[in-house]
Amino acid sequence: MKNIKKIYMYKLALGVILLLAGIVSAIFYKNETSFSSFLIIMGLVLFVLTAFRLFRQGDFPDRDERTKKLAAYGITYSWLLTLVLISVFYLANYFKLVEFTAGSVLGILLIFMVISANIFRWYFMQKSDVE
Amino acid sequence: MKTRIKEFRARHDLTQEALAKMVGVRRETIVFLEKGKYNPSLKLAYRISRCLNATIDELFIFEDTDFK
Repeated sequence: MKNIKKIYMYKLALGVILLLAGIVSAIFYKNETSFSSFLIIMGLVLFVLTAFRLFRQGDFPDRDERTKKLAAYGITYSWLLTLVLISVFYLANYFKLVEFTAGSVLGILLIFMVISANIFRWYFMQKSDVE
Repeated sequence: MKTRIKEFRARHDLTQEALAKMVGVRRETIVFLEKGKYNPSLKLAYRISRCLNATIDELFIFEDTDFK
């Protein structure tokens, strides 16, 4: 516990706060189950992932210039792919092929951006570097 | 790009882990550097060369194909 990095501690604390906020929200606002579930899941994911990274990384830095570079490339590629997806959505809507609601589009984009950024990051990590 | 990091590291009796800690990067980065799969920034190259008492030129060997 002595060597625990500050950033990990903040992340762990934030995870616990989100988790507790979700539990409190579930108790007091019984009609808002989706919001409570969202908070609980976010808190749990943050806590578990941080704990896992802490266990795996040990004393080594969480990120260095290589991982930052690869993450930046991953996000860039994800952004470009999202742009293509938005164009497809726009055309599909324009030609009335599919009827979208704002909520469904935002939900799809949110999930798509997070997943694609992580997939690209993982892919570049396998390659070691990217030019 | 080829590197002589492994050779210089052995001379100083340093493990990949120890060198990584000295220069403040993850161990995997040292692994990929030694395999020539990662081109470091000038800052990192400088830090490594300082730790291994070598010049950047001695540690990193660029080939013509690296500039194409």
